[in-house]
Amino acid sequence: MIDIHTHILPNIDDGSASIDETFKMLHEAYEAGFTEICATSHYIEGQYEFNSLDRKCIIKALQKKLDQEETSIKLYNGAEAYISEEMPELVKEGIIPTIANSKYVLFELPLNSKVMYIDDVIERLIGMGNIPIIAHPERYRIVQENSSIAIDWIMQGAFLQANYASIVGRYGNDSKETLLKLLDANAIHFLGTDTHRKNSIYVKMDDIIKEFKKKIGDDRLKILSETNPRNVLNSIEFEPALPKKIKKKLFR
Amino acid sequence: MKKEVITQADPKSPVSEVFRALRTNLQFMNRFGKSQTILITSTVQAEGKSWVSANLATAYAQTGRKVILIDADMRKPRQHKIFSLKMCPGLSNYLSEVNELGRREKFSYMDCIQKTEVENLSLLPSGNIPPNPSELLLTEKLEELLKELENEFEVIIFDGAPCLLVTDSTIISRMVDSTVLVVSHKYTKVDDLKEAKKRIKSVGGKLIGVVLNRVEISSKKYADKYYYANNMMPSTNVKRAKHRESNEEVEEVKPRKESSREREYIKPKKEMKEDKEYTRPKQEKHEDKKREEKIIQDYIDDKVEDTERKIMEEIEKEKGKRFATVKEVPSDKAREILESINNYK
Repeated sequence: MIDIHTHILPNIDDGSASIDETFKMLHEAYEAGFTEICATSHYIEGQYEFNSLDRKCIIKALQKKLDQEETSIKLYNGAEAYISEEMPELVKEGIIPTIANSKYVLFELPLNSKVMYIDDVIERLIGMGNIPIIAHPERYRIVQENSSIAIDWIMQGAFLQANYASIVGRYGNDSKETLLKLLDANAIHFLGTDTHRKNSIYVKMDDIIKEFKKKIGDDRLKILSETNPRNVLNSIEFEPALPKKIKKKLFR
Repeated sequence: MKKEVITQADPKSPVSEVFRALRTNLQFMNRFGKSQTILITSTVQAEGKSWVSANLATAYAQTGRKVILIDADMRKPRQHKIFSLKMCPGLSNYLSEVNELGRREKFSYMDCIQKTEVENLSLLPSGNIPPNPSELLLTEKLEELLKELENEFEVIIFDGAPCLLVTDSTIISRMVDSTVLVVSHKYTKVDDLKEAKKRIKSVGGKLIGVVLNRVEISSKKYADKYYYANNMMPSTNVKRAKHRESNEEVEEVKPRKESSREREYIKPKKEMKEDKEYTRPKQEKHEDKKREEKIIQDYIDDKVEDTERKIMEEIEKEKGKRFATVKEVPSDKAREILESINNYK
């Protein structure tokens, strides 16, 4: 399996707090069956500003250690950018790295508030020849309240990445329901773990996979966890199936 | 400085996140117009004007802009308390040319401005409470002041008085680029809000939005605690933390949307590729990549000092060139992390 959303790099953001923890997480990931991992630590202007070069150095050093101890995990560079007006420019200048040096850019939105320039950012990224991936849409309140907004993002050309653990209710019931809604509508293209700590998500992967298999079946799970992420790593453009419309619920 | 300035005290909290969103939304709504001066006001008192303006100003200052916050509520001034600064001399002293002891004295505006603990943020406090604030604001000196400040600062934020009770804010709204109303959940009356909107419009002020304050958010909404748990404010601020912002479009500001709706999947625009500023010969790019690889490798192989010297020399050599091949070296923190990885086990 390929994990395209993690916070395993030590001391860069609110993810792993030490090198020890990073290696524990990597071993857990290996146990859980992940062979390729993108280290997508946060990039938040004014808060976590590790640029592409810093990340590359650290990843390469980690990879060297991993190779020495013969854990066959391959690490890739990446970042989870926080949406801002300047974000597309930072990607263009190479300060925010794309995932595995491909065209795909992973970014997140604020969880609880509404940002009015999402469409604009998506448009600018696509105009620059990048492909935007929006991280964990099921966790945003705007999507929970009106899921059809996520379909609009897809129609504009964005991809959506859901979190594995949402399906077992780690981020609350609203997230879980929203995820199921989005999965029904064919609106999720990737799965990632978004792991921040050791002993958290990787150790529960068995249950999570079981749950996913129950809900969407083996074949689709394979597409979301393996086939589509593989396209990201190889920087291949692909056209997913069209999403269905989601009707807005009047009463909730 | 009080803990009220959450954007500074705790930049990672959900409340700060909301203020950053508010800041960028304001910037976005005014992308094609000038938005240097912003007035924050409300219908009646105690809706959260001062708190919102202090935090918004801090959020602006954090982007590196030079920001000044003006306490234009000369009836119940609060900003100097929030930032723990002196109240005099301030706006009223500057406008009336009377010092705090009641003697005539001419102030230059720089005398009245104080630096806050927040980098890039200055405060012009209210000054003594004058008997006639509205008349003071009507003098030409305010417009002069505004002109001077516009040269000096990039963002100017007014914390105004409530606009239904007194006319102070209505007067200021004529001069500023945009006016924002703070309304309080389950407190502000709809008719009051309509009246406030009417008053601001009647003098030609540009009302660009409403901030909805004091919305109760069930703790469930923050179920994603693992993200923020360590950063939540201590319990003293529980009440404060129950805020949320929502922007309502009041006027013709509309983010453009329609054009992109029907676009097909992922078709990069061609014309962007021809953008001259960013096209570079392929060969050069390739060399860049090779060079970067080498730098990284050297770092990992612990040849740090040697490479560093070389890079510094190269940076020095390429200063002023349009496309410097070596842009930077890994930051100190990254180097620390690298070192500890290399020493691990």
